Amino acid sequence: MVYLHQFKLECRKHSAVFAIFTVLSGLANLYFLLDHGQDVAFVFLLVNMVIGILLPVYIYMDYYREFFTGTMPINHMLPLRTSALFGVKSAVFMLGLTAVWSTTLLDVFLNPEGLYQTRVIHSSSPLLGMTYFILSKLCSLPAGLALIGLALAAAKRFRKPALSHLCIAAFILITVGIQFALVVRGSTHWSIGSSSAASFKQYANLLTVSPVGREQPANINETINWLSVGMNLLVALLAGAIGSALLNGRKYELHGK
Amino acid sequence: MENVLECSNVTKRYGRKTALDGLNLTIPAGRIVGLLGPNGAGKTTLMKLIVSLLRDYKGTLTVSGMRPGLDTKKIVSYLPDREFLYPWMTIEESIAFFDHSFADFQRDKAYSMIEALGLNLQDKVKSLSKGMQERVSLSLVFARKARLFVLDEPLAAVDPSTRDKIIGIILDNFDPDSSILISTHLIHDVESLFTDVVFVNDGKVLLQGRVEELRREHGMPIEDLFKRLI
Repeated sequence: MVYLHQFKLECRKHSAVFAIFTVLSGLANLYFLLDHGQDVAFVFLLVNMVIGILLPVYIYMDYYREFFTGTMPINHMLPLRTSALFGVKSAVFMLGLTAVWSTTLLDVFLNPEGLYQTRVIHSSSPLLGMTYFILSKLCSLPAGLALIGLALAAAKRFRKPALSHLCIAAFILITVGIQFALVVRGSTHWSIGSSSAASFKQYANLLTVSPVGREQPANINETINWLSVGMNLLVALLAGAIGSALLNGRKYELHGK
Repeated sequence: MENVLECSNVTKRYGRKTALDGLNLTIPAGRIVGLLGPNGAGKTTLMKLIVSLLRDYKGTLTVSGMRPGLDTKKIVSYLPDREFLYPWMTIEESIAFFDHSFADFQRDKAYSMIEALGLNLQDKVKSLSKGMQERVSLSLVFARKARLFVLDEPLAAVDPSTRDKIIGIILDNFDPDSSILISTHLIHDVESLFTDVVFVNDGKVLLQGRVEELRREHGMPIEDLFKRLI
């Protein structure tokens, strides 16, 4: 019961932000469907990139206020474990992120020059391709959120703010860096945060990467990289488990400053 | 009578700084206890330990025989020394939030307390004055049937009229089966509220006892005793 009401509360707190980004992204994608001009394509790319940066920042700031500084102690008074509070908030963030991302499917599926029409439909298995396309994105979300949670919980172990912030940066940069290195391994070049019809997007945590090989394979399914999905699942599980233990542990304290 | 709160040799450190230094304190049921001390004495630290916002300490601290944690959150009602309610909620939504969050919350009691304040349930928390926000928060905190009420500086930064009303809320809602721990450094106006007082400074209990006994024993009001001790 408390979980459900906490979930509704978090939905209410964040629904406006995610609704705005969903509408913005949806409008950008719809407009691009109707007009494929180069200027529009640039704006379309820019809108998606800005949303892709702002949303993680928004999420990080909210987690930081709630689980690092603890400036609003009321939620921590509830008879819920801190990890449960984190889990409920993360569920809402995952739904919000999925809603925003789902608007990009307009371009993927409906655009005659989009990924599905030009590449996936001619692949060895469109079903496999689409399964990978969706799963790889959905698995990146819990990995990203759990990593932020772990970084914040670990940073609470340090009393000096500088060390705390260094700890947060180190956790996130090192983990994402390792995942990124694995994702781009074997590719001749890559781009971050953009789309490419040459290959499926891959996700190093929340970071979108488009690795490109020397030659574009005729069958896009050859660019499927289950390792990136597995890495995100592993990060989600490990960071989630360790983060939970830290959030519920004796060393996790909220000073409210 | 069962002790609601027991602290035995509780020590809390922030790095090299010792906030609580081997503190011993026992509060039986049916008491209104004033936790008196200057700023930085360790009052808020002790309260945060009781409500489990701070968890890393040495010594033994129990609430109704339980170490602070999930189970004690069900029986401890806490008013922090800062903004407490969501400012974007209406008063009615704040009541619903408490009702859904705490099994011991008495919705009807909350409504009657808010009604007594003459407030509109549809008013947003952010539209209320600071004093009124404090009274709404206190009403919600006291609408729980908790074993221990922990109020951190509920009388700071409110005008004398609001202070009297807050004291009225506390006295009207005092249940002999529970206890109330109130931290303050404003003693003069609230001395009559307490059944017991605990003087703390530098993380230690300097003196504690029943108000009447201390007054009689030392031959002076609690405020004068406070000035002499601290």
